[in-house]
Amino acid sequence: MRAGPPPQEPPPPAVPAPLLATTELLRLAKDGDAHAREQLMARYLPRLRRWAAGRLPMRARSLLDTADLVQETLIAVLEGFDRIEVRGPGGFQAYVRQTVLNRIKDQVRWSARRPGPDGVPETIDDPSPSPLENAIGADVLARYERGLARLNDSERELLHLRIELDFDYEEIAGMTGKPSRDAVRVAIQRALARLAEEMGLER
Amino acid sequence: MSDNHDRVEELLKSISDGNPVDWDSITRDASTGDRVRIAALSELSRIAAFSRSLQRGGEPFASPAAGSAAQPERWGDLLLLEPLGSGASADVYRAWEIRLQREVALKLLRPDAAGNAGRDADAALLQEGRAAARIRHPSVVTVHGIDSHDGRVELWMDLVRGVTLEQIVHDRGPLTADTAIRIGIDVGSAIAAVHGAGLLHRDVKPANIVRDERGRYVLTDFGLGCRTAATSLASAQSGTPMYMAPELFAGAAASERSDIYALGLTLWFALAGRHPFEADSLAKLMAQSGQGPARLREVRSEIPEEIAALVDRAVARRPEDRPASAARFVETLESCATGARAAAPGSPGSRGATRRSARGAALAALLAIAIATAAIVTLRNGRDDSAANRARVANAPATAAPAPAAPAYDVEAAFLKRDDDAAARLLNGDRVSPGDRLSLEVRATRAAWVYVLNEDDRGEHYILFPQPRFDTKNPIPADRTLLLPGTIDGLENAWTVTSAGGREHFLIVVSPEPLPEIEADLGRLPAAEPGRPIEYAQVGASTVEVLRGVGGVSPLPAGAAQPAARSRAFDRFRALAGRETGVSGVWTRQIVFENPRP
Repeated sequence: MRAGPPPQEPPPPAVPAPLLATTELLRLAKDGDAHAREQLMARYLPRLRRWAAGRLPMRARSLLDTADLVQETLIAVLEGFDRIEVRGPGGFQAYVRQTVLNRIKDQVRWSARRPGPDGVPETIDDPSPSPLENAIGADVLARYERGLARLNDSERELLHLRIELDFDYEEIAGMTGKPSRDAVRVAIQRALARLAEEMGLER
Repeated sequence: MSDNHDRVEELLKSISDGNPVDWDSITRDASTGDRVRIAALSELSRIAAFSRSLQRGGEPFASPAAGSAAQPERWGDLLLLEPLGSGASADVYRAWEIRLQREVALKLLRPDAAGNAGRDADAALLQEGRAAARIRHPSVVTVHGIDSHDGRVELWMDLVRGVTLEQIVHDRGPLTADTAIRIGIDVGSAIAAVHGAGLLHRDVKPANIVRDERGRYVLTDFGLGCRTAATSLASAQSGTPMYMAPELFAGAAASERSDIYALGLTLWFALAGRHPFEADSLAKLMAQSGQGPARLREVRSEIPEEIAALVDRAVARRPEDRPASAARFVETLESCATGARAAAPGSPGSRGATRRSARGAALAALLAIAIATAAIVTLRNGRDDSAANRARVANAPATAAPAPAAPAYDVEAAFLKRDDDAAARLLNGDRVSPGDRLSLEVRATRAAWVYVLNEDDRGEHYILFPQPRFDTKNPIPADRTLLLPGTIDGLENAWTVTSAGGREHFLIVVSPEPLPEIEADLGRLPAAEPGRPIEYAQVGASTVEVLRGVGGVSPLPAGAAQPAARSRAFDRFRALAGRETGVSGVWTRQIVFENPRP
């Protein structure tokens, strides 16, 4: 008997093997490689959908399913990729994340303006909270978002992948081109420390 | 300053790894200057926990296009995440318990589920739910709370992830006798725990049994809503009457034996791959139920006779012909399992002791290679110390054992064989082979020191757990199921079988206090250091003797062969029985896996 890491860690089914760095997949997708594009979709879409579901208030979901919203956004980003300038590591995730958040905001505004049960439009001052806001509080979420915005793309990417999308260290190493899971782990902890500092400054 | 830095590093690691943190005590102990940062870290931890719950919850929330107006978003302290299903008497949601930051299943009973009997019925349900919340059993879904809001009774409990037995049989067809035995033992002991709490489950059926991510079969959907469904014919028509005992159709009250009947019929279904009755109306079902199902071996003749007979008895038409209790049912099933193994060709029980000892020398060589690192380290780090320690232990007075007056507690332990995406519980005598990854699932109802010892074929003993490099340390916290060895630097580990031939012998020790004999052996191991190979401490046979003294040795069955001079030191410990309640002092159990040559 021995104790040690399992002989081989198979990649989880959600992420096809081998894991190519996102930047490499993006480069291939940009060159018209359909497989690379599919890999990007398969890699991010399910997790982005679940992440977005926590951000979209129940009331705002009736007309456009969260899944559709995220899929449309990701397809639009990938199709318009030639026209998008993504700079540096983490730029793609940051761009997709922000685009989905913008779509959600639009959706919330739209749903708040549509007529309520009594025919009178509901005001945009009273949007129902998202599940995440319900769980942690709107003020905390706002400070979290502002703190994230002050980090660099690389830090934001790591936190998005780990904290929000729940990729494991091995996957993140493969996706970001970092040398090892330990390197990822250390980088994520540093990014968390930075974010906590930013959030703490606002308290 | 350094302490603060280390503590913050530890918190960052916990947030990133998803490990629980007691934020209340961290905040309480923090200096004023640290509190702002701790508060921000706590908020990040909440965001991370909620995000993980979303990611691990399966598909995104269902679109509430239909019926969204009626769907609440919040229920008391619970945030409703998605509907999981609706039955005749209740709606079930995946929910987030905001205060405790955990995911739960919320069952909202329909206003009329209590039988239109108003407050009295509600009060009875609440009382029953509170009793259910006191049940702690690894195969019973844990009920966290019950309350009543706006005329609806709500019950929230562990969200068990996995696949139902109904789905397993649907996908794979009839199950093997071994699998059915596992199901029977897991679910039967769960029902025994429910009955022990003075309750009935009332809705045992394949759809309410889930094989969880660790391979355990868990009894879910704790009654309440099914209370009326099982006690009146009218409500049975709207519920699921397929597993109802025949006397219930005749108006008798539900009983322990009607739960046993449902378990028997569930096992019949699992072994036959289909339900015994094919009825398209309640009248036909009642008629067929009155006649009873076919004998199991008429459907599958290869099922071992003892097991088939037990299942047939559990589904007897007359309640008095069924096993008297779920506990008795489980005991009989366990003896069936042991008998089946002993009778199997080539099984260990059928081999002669001579053959076993003749093979010993060759196996010793193989196993020595498998744990060579440990042996070398033990020699290098003080064989002499070890000898001295053994002498000390041998002379230690009996009072070295933890005080027997320690409050009684419950222990649950089982080895799991782990695949990439699942785990199966191992029973004593099961087979393992090279490459298999093993973990010990352990839980105690009090904080406890856990030790896992391995005995090789030369009779030498090594401490597999704890280990300086493992993240999980003693004592393990109360009421938390842990998988050992746990993680090393955040990466989950398992004990890996590295060679074939012989048997793997383990001794599991759970103690309310650290055991000085073992701690002394552990103390000689080098300190944890990243990159250092895993090294095991060796313990002497005298330490095992002391364990036998403090843990108690159960008498061998009458007529059992006396241990030979070369018998294994672990052989006089009781075989692992999974779960034990009311333990006082040290709990020791051994488990042996067959590891034959290919």
